[in-house]
Amino acid sequence: MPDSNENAQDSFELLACHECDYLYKLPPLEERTLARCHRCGSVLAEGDGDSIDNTLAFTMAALICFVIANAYPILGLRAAGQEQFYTLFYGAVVLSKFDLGAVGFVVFLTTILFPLLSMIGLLYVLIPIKTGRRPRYFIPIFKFTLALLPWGMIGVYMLGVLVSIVKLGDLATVVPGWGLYALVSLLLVSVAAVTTLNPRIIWQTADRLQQVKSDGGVDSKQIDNSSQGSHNVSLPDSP
Amino acid sequence: MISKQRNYVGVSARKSGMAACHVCHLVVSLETLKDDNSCTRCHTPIHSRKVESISRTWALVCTAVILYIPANIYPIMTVSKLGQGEPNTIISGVMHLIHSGMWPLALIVFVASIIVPVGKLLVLMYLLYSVQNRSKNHPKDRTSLYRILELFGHWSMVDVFLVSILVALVDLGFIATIEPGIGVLYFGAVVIVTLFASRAFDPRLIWDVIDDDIG
Ligand SMILES: [Zn+2]
Ligand SMILES: [Zn+2]
Repeated sequence: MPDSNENAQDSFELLACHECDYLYKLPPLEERTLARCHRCGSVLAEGDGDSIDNTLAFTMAALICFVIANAYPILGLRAAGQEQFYTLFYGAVVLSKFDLGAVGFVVFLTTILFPLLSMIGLLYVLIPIKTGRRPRYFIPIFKFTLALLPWGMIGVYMLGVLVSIVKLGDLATVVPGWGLYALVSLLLVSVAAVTTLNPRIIWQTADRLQQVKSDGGVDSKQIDNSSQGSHNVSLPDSP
Repeated sequence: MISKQRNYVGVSARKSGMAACHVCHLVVSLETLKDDNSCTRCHTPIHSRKVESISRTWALVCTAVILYIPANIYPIMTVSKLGQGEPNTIISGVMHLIHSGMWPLALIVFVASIIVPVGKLLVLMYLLYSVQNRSKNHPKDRTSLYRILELFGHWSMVDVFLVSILVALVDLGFIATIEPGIGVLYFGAVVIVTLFASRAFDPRLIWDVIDDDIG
């Protein structure tokens, strides 16, 4: 008999697997514990292990790397005593010279604009939340940020850089620029930021902050992930 | 400490009259929703399943298959040394890496620019076919296939980035010139359309047949 959510306990969170739609009453999760769907194996939720602090720190580092990666050249060629370098932005713009502006625009979006906007979006949301405020326009901005995240392709771009170094090896000497080191660092910290990002915790924290605002006090019924980590429940292997 | 409390409800959300918001994953009861049918937390319209998932995915898959033909016929770039041009298609780019003895790199590019896009389209067609035939076989494996698809799909963009990097580097042209070819436009389109295709597919459809049996 399926229970309806009305008589589910308050400390349990109702979650549906996003890959098979199986319904769960999830107890509060311990730090860094993953709850997997026993039916299809996808990750249902992840326990909070200071995820907001970590994502915030990595995103700030990523923004600094991003600025350097864009300000300095990525790669240069040395031939006949001359050196020439290209920057990330030029790599996108150059294609429009050959009537392939559409491709250049996609390169610009996936390597520059989307990563930049998603970093700014995360900082805009996380900094106030960290200081206990719910940011203005939280919902549209956080939704927009989450939608952009999968379209940032710095990692794939790095593979392209690697291949181009090898390909040009027989034509000329390829020289790394400062931008390349920044790009490698950007890749590492942005992977760390995305790995620690736990949108579920951010939604819940934002909900709680709104509650505090409207009630003038903390609602004890809200799910508090930091204080209820003791009921670790392993999900069963079969229904 | 393991609680004895059962933590699954035993049915799909849809069977119990609920739906998860696809943006914030809040589970809402469909009955209690107001007329606008939107999530009580983030105001996104709530749909139990992605709307028109199968026909939208088919349309995008077919578009990608058609675009894949010119993407492989036309050169993605032409490398000219001392006035002699050598057009490069995606496949000849991989061959070039093999001939230069760059085996590991050739393998990476081969996987990213041929295996991933082709494999992705074939897997999507298989998943669509299996859902339309109400298959009950290996639902877990089919879900895993879909998950892998979502994870690696964007790596095919490497060829597009490669062309942009090479063209930019050699642009001032004192050793050689590299001109991008129209093939890169088609190939980029294949990658983007395929990314949208896999997002249009709803893996929960794989399980709906099984849930219908549970009752
Ligand atoms: Zn599942
Ligand atoms: Zn929502």
